Amino acid sequence: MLQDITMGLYIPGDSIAHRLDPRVKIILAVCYVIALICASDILSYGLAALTLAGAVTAAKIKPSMLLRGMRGFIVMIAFTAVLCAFMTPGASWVQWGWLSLSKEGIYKGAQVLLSFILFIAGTSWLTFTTSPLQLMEGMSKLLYPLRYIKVSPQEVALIMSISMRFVPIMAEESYRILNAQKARGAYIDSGNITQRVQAMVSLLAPLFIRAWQRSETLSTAMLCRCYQSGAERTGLRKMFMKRADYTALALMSAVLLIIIALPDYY
Amino acid sequence: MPDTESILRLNDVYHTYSYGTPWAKAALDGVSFQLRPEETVIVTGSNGSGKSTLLQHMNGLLKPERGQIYFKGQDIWQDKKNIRQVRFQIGIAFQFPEYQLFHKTVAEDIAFGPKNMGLTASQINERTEEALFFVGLEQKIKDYSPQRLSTGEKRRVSLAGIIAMQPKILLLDEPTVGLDPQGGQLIMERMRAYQQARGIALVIVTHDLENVGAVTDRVIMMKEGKIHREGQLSKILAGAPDDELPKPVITQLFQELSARGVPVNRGTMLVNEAAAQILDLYNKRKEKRA
Ligand SMILES: Nc1ncnc2c1ncn2[C@@H]1O[C@H](COP(=O)(O)OP(=O)(O)O)[C@@H](O)[C@H]1O
Ligand SMILES: [Mg+2]
Repeated sequence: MLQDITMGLYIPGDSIAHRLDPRVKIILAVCYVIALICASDILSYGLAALTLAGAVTAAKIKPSMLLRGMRGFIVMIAFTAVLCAFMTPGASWVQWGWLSLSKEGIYKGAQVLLSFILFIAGTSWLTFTTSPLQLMEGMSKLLYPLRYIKVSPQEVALIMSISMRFVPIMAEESYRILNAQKARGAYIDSGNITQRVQAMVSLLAPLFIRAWQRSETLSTAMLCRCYQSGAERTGLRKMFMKRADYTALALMSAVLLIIIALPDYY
Repeated sequence: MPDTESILRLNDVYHTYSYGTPWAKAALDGVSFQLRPEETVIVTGSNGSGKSTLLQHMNGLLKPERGQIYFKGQDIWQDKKNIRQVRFQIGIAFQFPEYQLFHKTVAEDIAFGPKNMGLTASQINERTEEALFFVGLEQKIKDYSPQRLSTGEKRRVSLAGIIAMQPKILLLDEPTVGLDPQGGQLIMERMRAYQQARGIALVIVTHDLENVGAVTDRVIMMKEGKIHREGQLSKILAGAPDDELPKPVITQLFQELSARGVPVNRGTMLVNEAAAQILDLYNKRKEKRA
């Protein structure tokens, strides 16, 4: 269950996608998300899916890995899509008692379903191919303009990357606590829904205590190694753009432009 | 195949973490094992050899990928609904169990298991008091917040929470790690006393062979997901090379003596055994002189 969360994880590798400049990969992901937001017709979604398929192939990630990452969200996504389908007004197409479903509703629901799945797969692609350190370096370079409003881009990037790093740590920690409580008969993988919810609530208290302890250890460790907020930091590896980076950017821009330019038509 | 000899039996158990992903990891690689009622078994082996994974299979927290686990002759995974009952009867304390204390008072935390078992308030109270006694804590700490206790005390409170379920088998994952030597020794002694008083089976994962010499009947040494050595502790100590496991100081001394030609037992680990051998040699020497 929890240990199956693949979101936010990095899969070491040596593919074209792994070797792209992290700044470029972040820009690609942002463009992709914008494209998804703008997409409204079958053609646009097809194009976005094609882009994703290309990116996944270039990363040599097994598609099953992407699906695994989605497993935790599938109920939520399906629920949202169904809700959307029924809530969208339009001429009734099928009717069950007071429930009516319109063609627009079905279309809207499918659209929500697709965008969610493409969105999760795309962001997973970014973290699968980029180590947390690279993500942080890339982010702090891209956030450089924040300098002008007196915000340290490195600190923002550090905060983001620490939060990312805490996702799997907290997942592991909650797995341990869950197991300890299961061993004492808590209803976690058995029992009715009320019992399970109660069991989940009793997970939160120890989890919070552990998160607090962990973050205190981390901040002490950072201070001991002379971390100073606001200080200028240098990177061991300089980032530079190669031909593959320019090609990827050009392709993505083209996709984004086409999706924006395509008329809202179905 | 029902058997009366063993209370717990693992039959060729395999386990792989993150199955089907790039970081899939075979943690148990065909482990078979039998535990007799009232027996104490020590499980040792280096980090990552699969000890904790093995322990979690023993009480049905992990489900084997292949192989069976029998408790009192019954396959525990035959009926998934019964797994909770199995977990009540096979208590497990994870590494650093004190991290999992979360109730407002010590008594409430100890009562968590018994409450889940559906016992009455008076039964729970009785069990709480008894459990505190077994782990050597005073009754007055019942109303304390667990967070204000020392690490050793917290550890003993979490063990009390498992004892209070009155399990037939007690599984302890590195119960002494991170404690001072006296604290570690105290826990070992208390758990041994409890095991004897109740006649239950005890499985302890530990690297601390210094403290278990007097406790154990049998040792299992894990290596890369397999049982690498199995048998009496003294035999294993005598047979295993020095870099394979941390030998007690007395064992090291006696193996050094043996290497220099003194006729002593290479598997010696207890002070009284050591004293007896030295005395024996001394007396023989005296006789020869006379
Ligand atoms: N929850 C988990 N997810 C993935 N791998 C794990 C998990 N727990 C343990 N492992 C891996 O399984 C192997 C055995 O671990 P473990 O049973 O904890 O060993 P030990 O207790 O002997 O140190 C190790 O290589 C460890 O990295
Ligand atoms: Mg372990």
